[in-house]
Amino acid sequence: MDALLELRDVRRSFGGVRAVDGIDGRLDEGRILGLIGPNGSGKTTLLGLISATMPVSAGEIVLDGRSMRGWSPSDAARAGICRAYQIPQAMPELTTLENAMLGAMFGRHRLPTADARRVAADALERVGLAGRISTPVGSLSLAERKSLELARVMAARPRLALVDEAMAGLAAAQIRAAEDILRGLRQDGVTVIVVEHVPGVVAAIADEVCVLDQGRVLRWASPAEIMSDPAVIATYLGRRARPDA
Amino acid sequence: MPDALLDTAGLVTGYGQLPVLQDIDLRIVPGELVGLVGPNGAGKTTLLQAIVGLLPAWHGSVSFAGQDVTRWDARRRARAGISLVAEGRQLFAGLTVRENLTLAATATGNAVEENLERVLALFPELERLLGRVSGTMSGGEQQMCAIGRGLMCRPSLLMIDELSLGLAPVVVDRLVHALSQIHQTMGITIIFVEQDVDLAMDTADRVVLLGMGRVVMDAPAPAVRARRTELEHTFLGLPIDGQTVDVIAEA
Amino acid sequence: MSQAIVNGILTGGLYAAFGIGLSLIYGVTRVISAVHGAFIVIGAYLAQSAWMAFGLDPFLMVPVLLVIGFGLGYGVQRLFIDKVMRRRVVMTITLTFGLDLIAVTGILLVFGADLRTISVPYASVGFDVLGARIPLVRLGIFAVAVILALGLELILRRTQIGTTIRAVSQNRTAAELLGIDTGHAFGMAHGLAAAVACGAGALLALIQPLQPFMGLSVLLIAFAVVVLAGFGSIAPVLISGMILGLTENLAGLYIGTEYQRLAIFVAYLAVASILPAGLFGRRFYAH
Repeated sequence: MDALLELRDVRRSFGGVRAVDGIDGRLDEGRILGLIGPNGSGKTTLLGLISATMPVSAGEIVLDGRSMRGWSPSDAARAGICRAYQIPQAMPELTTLENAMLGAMFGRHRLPTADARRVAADALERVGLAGRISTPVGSLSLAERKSLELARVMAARPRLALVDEAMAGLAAAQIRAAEDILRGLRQDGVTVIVVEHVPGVVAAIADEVCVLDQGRVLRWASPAEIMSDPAVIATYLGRRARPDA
Repeated sequence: MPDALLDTAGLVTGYGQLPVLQDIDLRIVPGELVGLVGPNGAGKTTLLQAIVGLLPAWHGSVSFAGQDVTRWDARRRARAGISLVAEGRQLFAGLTVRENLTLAATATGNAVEENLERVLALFPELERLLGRVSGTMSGGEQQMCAIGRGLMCRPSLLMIDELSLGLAPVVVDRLVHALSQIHQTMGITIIFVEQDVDLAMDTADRVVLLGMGRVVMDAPAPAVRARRTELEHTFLGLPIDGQTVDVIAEA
Repeated sequence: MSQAIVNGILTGGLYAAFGIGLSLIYGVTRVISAVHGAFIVIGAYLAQSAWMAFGLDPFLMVPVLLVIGFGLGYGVQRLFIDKVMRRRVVMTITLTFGLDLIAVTGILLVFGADLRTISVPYASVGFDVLGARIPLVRLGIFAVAVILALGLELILRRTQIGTTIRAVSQNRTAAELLGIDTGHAFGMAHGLAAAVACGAGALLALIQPLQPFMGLSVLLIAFAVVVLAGFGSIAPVLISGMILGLTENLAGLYIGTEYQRLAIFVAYLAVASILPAGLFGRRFYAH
């Protein structure tokens, strides 16, 4: 099977800081990748590079055999990359349904309004927001907003979903629900990258886990291997956080 | 059982609508050196802020030196002897080292000269830096200045948020040495947050492990060290079987 | 021409004294205070009244006004601004504009709407330097204004309360952790700023007829000084004051006196749009 996403020595610097410092890897279609690492390890930057919201400093990102060099975020969206944000970027004046429709109207398929409404309503039902369809987003709870972000992604029917901390800050039952939504996305054939700070959260749903540390891949393996890897554990216990002398 | 210096009972607090700390019972007696550890977001900084009075308690209480200080603001608690060296040092960047230090003494009604001598004896490095604008110094120098400033308030409880974060190993060794001097020579009770768990266990007498806003472990350092798996699981966010809250045996 | 330059520089000292307090208040409390002009006008009216009632020279009134201004500033800060300081900027602006309206109404009620002037006996005394006439009054105003500004700077740099005010402005949370009474420090800062403003009001009364609504144009001058100078130490404030004074006087000479005030604001807008960080690279409205 061909890789949906390939990272070839991807780099990104801010001033002198190398936030992403040479990442290689490939992700096959229909998989869920957990992307974890301590604060400042480069997770969110890498997500930004894959969604083309910022350009790579060096290296190349290949989607479906096509280089993403020079792509704008809307090029990436049209190619089927859809991002759910850590702090939901929903527009507070719009209703839940209208927000979810945005995903379908401006994503890969660019559906006409009537179809978008149907797809969005469907997605909202699947994330458990069917009863909140005409609620302004401003009055949703944090958990509901995160579900809405996932519904928006679902309605866009992307090839690759980038999900930034969909579960951080949620209670156990809400995390379970979010996990189910992500599994549903995978069932639809969507490839998913889930970024979380806490490794335990992704262990339950990811097919593979990539651990970043100081902008590099510390380990890329199955969840079970990751959770017993001494280098990963050391990173999370803070030993490597001291700058190398 | 000696009287507690600090005692939080059923402490609950957080930011905005979001609760961070759940039901924290923490009892610290004079002379303890406590390492506070836990994964990111576990509530370490939040706990220090609640103790020092920057965050109000939603439920529960905070007692210090036999007084209920739950409703006291940060200023009053500072004057009562709680000193926090906050994350990121929080120096007055445009003021000199001397100004930073003297201000702390005068603000809490303490003598400048005597306390300045004490701080300079602990950190002789600061002597030649007294006239420097504090924002222009290295991270290690700033941390010494911040700890020194905390000591200028004559605290009976000194709390340090992120002792070693971002500092070179040689500087960290220096600070750990200073910490034991503050503890032993000056007899000040210390709580320090440390992201390097092994460093915390090597330095502290007692280790408190927070996870998801609760006390997961609270025991002498060797006892915590012996429960490596639970420690690792807490940091990786994996489930721990059963409730494993230990209360330290007062010796 | 040389006369316009001399006038510009001498007026500029006074403008600097208008601006320096506003700069201090903003630097410490992050509040853009619309009531600052009122402190100046109140100072001016009190000086004029003292002159009318007791024949007291406005220069001698300055120390009294410093005390009164300090009290007003401290009170306004602790009673009103303290309550809204951590709120949105629209709250603090609305509040300070409200206070300004109250002040103007108060002045109207107490002093009436008629123009009031002071004519000191030495008004026409002066001497000539390089073909320019330097009136003694103007020179005195310049000297006192600069002394007020320097005095404020000295207090901030050299005294215990000055250090405290600077510390609180840099890191309020850290200050509270040290047991500093930040509310008192904010009050002291506003008090010092208002003291200088009130004192400068006496100087203003010497050269300009007083009317209750003059506060707005005075405030705008103070604001222009601060935006030009950026926020920080005193030298930029003094220089900015003089630049505005020169702009005003040269515009009066070459374009016409009716355009003097306009010239100030054109200069200010030009600087603000070309050099948003001010003339000295210190952005006024950023940290």
